[in-house]
Formats: sequence, C-alpha cells, structure tokens
Amino acid sequence: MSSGSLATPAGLAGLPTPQTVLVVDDEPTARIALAARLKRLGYRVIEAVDGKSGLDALRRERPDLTILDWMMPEIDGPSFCERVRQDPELLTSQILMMTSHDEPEQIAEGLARGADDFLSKAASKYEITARVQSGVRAATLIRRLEDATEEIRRKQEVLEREIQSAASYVESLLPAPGIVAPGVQMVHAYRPSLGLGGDLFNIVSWGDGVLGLYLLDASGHGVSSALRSAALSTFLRRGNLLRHVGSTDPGAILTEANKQFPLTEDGNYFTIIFARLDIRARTLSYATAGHNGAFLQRSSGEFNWMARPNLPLGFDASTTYVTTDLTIAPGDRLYLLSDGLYEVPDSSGALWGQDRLEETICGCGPRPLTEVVARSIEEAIRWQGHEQFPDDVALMGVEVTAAVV
Amino acid sequence: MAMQVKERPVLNGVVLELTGDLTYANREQFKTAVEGVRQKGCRHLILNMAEVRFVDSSGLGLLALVSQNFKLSQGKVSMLKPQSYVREIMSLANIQKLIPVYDNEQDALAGHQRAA
Amino acid sequence: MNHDPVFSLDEALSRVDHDRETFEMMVELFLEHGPKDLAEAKAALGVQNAVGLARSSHRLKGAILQFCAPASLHACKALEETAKAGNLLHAEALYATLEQELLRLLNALRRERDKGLAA
Repeated sequence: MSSGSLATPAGLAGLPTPQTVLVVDDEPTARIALAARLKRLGYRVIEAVDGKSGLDALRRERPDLTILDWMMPEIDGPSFCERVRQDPELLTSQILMMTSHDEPEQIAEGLARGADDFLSKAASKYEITARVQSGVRAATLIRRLEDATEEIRRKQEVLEREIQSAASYVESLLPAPGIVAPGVQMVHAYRPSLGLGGDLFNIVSWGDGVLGLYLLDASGHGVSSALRSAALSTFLRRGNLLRHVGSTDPGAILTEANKQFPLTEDGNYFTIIFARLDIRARTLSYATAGHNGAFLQRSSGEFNWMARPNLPLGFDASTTYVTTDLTIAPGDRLYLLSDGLYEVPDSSGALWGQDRLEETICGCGPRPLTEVVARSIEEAIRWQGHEQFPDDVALMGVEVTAAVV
Repeated sequence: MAMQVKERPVLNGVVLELTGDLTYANREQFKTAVEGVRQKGCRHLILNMAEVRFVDSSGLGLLALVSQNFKLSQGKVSMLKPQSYVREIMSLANIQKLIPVYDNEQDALAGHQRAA
Repeated sequence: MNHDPVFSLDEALSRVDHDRETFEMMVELFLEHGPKDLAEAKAALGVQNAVGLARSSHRLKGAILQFCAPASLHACKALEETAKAGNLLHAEALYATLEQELLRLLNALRRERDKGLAA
C-alpha cells in the first residue's frame, strides 16, 4: 500500500486541515478511480458529474485544486476554464485538465483557454500523484499570496484612515482666513504633499494691536514631520513663549527654540520665520532661521525679500538669532511661504524660482490679496504642468489694511 | 541620481570626493562613508562638493549631523568648492557658521591648523 | 490468480493500489454504464452524429483505461479519434470492433465480480 509519504496534504507545512480537490468528470468509473486515489493521498475530495455542477461546487467549496475532463456535455473542460478565468472571485483557482495522451495540441488550446496544467487520462498513478501534488502546492502559494495581499490592503486602509485623521487635526491648527484683527487681513493656501506635511503657519492676535505670526517648515515629509511641527507650534503659543522665552521678541524666540529643538537623530530640523506685527506702532519685527520664504510688498509696489542668512533651528545650539525691525504702512503686504512653492520643478527639472514668484506677485498689482494668493498657486501649477506638488506648499499673505485702529 | 564617494587621505585628515546629489535618497551612502572615516579616527573631514549638483533639505540636515558628530569626537568638518546652486543653498542657510567653506584644498588644510 | 487475457486484473488492481472496495464499485459502475454508452455510440453512428459518437467513445475510453484492457482501449481510441475528426467513413467497422471487444471485457469483468475477486 503506497504511503504517499512525501508531503502528505495534512502534513504540508503544518496545515491543520486536509486540502480539497474537486474532480469533474461525467464518466463515473474514471471519476471514482481518481477520487479514490486522491482520498488515499489524504485529500478531501468533491465530485461533480458535469461542468455546470462543477462550477457550482468550485464556487461553494473553493477547493485547492480542480481536476477536470476535457470532454463533457454542455460545459466542456476548456469552457469551464474560460468561465473561471472571467470570474473575479474564482479566477486564481488552480485547474488541472485531463487530456488524451496522443493529442499535444490540446495543451496549447488548454493553456490559451485557462488551464494551469495537464494530466493524461492514461497517466500512471505516479504521474497523477505528482501532478496533483504540484497543483496543490501552486494553489497553496497563490492562496498565501492572496492572503498577504489582503492583509496589506487592510493595513493600508487603517493607515490611510489614521493619516486622514492626523491631517484633519493639523488643518484644524491652521488659522482661519479673514480679518484676524482690526486692520489686518489674512489669506492662505495650504497644500501638504502627502495629505499630511511638516509646514505650519499661524497668525494670532495678542491684543493691543499686536500680532504674532510665523511659518515653520519641518524637514522631511509625512507623519513624523507633521508631529514635529505640531510640537514646535505648541512651543510658539503666547503662553509658552512668555514662560520659556520671557518675551515675544522674534530673535529671542528663535534663540530659545533653537536650544529646545535640536537636530534629530535622522538629521531633521526646522526652518522658520517668526514675526511680530504691531499695528499701532506700525512696526514689523522678525527673525529667520534658514528660512527664505518671506517678503514684503509695499503699497508702492516695492518688493523686498526679508530673510538674512541664518542657520536652521537645531544646527548649532549656540546660535543667537537677531531681530530685524521694519516700519510698515497701510497697504503693505507681508507674505510668508514655504520653499515648496517656489522650488517646483517643470518637466525638465528647472525650478520656478523666487524671481518668477516675484514677477507673478508684482504682476498682480493692487489686486485683492485672495486673488494674489490664488494666482501664485495657479502659476506654480502651470509651471510644473500638473496639480500634485512634490513638496509641502504653504503660503500666508497678510495685509495691513487702510483701516486705522 | 546616485552618489559616488571616494576617499583620499591628506595631511591630518581625509577628503571625501562627492559626485552626484546629496539628498534623502542617497543618505545611507553618505552616512556610511562619513561614519567609516570618523571611526578610523579622522580629525579633519573635508567634503569636496565640486561635483555635487544638488542638495535637498535632507542633505542639509545630514551635513549638520556630520558636523555635530565630528565635534563630539573632537574633530571638525570643512567644505570645499560648493558650486552655483549648491553654493547658494549653503550661504542662505549660513552653513559656513557650522562648516567652514573653502575654495581650495590648501586653504581648507590651513584653516584647520589655524583653529587647532 | 486468474489471468484473463481480455484485461489484466493485476494491473487494474495495482492502479487502484489494491483498494478492493473501490475496484468493485468501479466494476459495478462500468457494468451499468458501459452498455448504455455503447448503445449511445451505436445510436449516434446510426444518425451520422460524429460529435455524439466522439462523446460516447470518450466516455467509454475513460472507463476502459481503468481496467487495463488493451484490445478494447485500442478499438475505442480509434473510434474516438475518427469521430472527433468528423470522419465517419470507417466508423462502422471501428464500432464493430469496439462492440466485440467491449462485450468481451464486460463479460470478463462480470465473471470476476461473480467470483468474488478472491485474493
């Protein structure tokens, strides 16, 4: 009595349940002979007497392997295969087709119509055993692959939901556009590259006509940079500034932030511009740390890039950041932005650049702030030729309106 | 574009000739090369940036990291010949405060000795 | 041990790994279906239905293969091939041979079944 010791179905890779084989043949003698052989080998066997009931059994039982005769009434072997391959639920099923020993052309047709492997009706018991085992092995591999793919898909879904949720939180930290204080109007555009990004900006009225505003950029992308940005933005709340810095002077703020937020193990850091706008005194004080995305457009149209060369936060704990003071007048517009906006590449890799951004802004003239912000984004998109920005893009425009407090 | 790194020993230090982009994609390569040099006891690392086309924000962070690590082992880092766009990035970030920038190797070597 | 030249009991039993129970079931099935398939083949031939003839002879072949009966198998294969090719020219003669051999096989199997297939 043959023992079928090589990789018996129940012992295959420690699987607890026997594997199932579906035998579809309208000829009963051959069918039960094959079924008996398969049972001896340890498989669970399902028999079907024709193509139609075979398909039903396949759908219902999802066997590891289907062995089917070529010639059958109504739905023959090749037609069975075609139907299986067209059904998204069944299409990865492993099918072993019976052929006549002396018709090799059958194999070409069988393959074309969807069979995976072939077995001659006149095959020896050894060949039958070998083909069946190889078919079941293939089916097991496919099943594992499908399970792994499904699990990845599920986990991906969970991750995406979590990122969505985190992205919503980050967006909730952004200031609402509009009149943020008497005499101050703000408009913004925010396009994180992966739905979640490391750029954050804010403008907060501190009372008495004084506002604090900043735009920070955490290096890197995605979740970790968003987390770091949220941490720095918490530090930059007025209460925390007064507690940890002792003042709202931009230079002092960055000097302290520099100590509190060192370079991470991965070499990640922040660039930032922090400004203090005093409407009554008509002053704008600011400090920058490695951040070049800031300019002032006077009501006259005069255009000044504000940044001074300065190390990004975290590069050197001993850095002292210096405050620069400017006077401002009604009609002046301050723009804080991330380099993701002016560093967009076109199809050949050429960057849009600060000069072209300046041209765009100046070209808008005295148009309303909302239009200018919208126009800048449009032009960047036009330059790169598509809507998806490769890097986080943030732009905050602040106008000191003609209304006097 | 991938990055190539070649090591060349000089007086009291090592020059790393970099070719390509110093970016997020190439960070492991760069970190490995630098770590290798540092662990051999190098006191002065000179980064030759002449053939570096592009440095992204990750690359900038890497430079800062390397500089900090070398300081911890009583060494220092200098930069040699950054070109056009890369030079601009370096100066806007005020990198020379952290990593001195030189236009030729003799100056780089001399600079180190003066500081020592 | 009985050794009827129409079919080889040894080989047939070996094919089912000496599973007597299954073998007996197969013999019963063939004794029941074999004559029916033969009659269907004859009827198909009678109306020159090549497709029907191919199908019936294919079924018969599947069963005959289990019993290691070379003469029946040879005759059946010949008939199946010509029917599949749509060529019924010699089908009459081929069918006659098959009918003769198949009846011999069925009788031999019936004898074995009645003997009880003692070891």
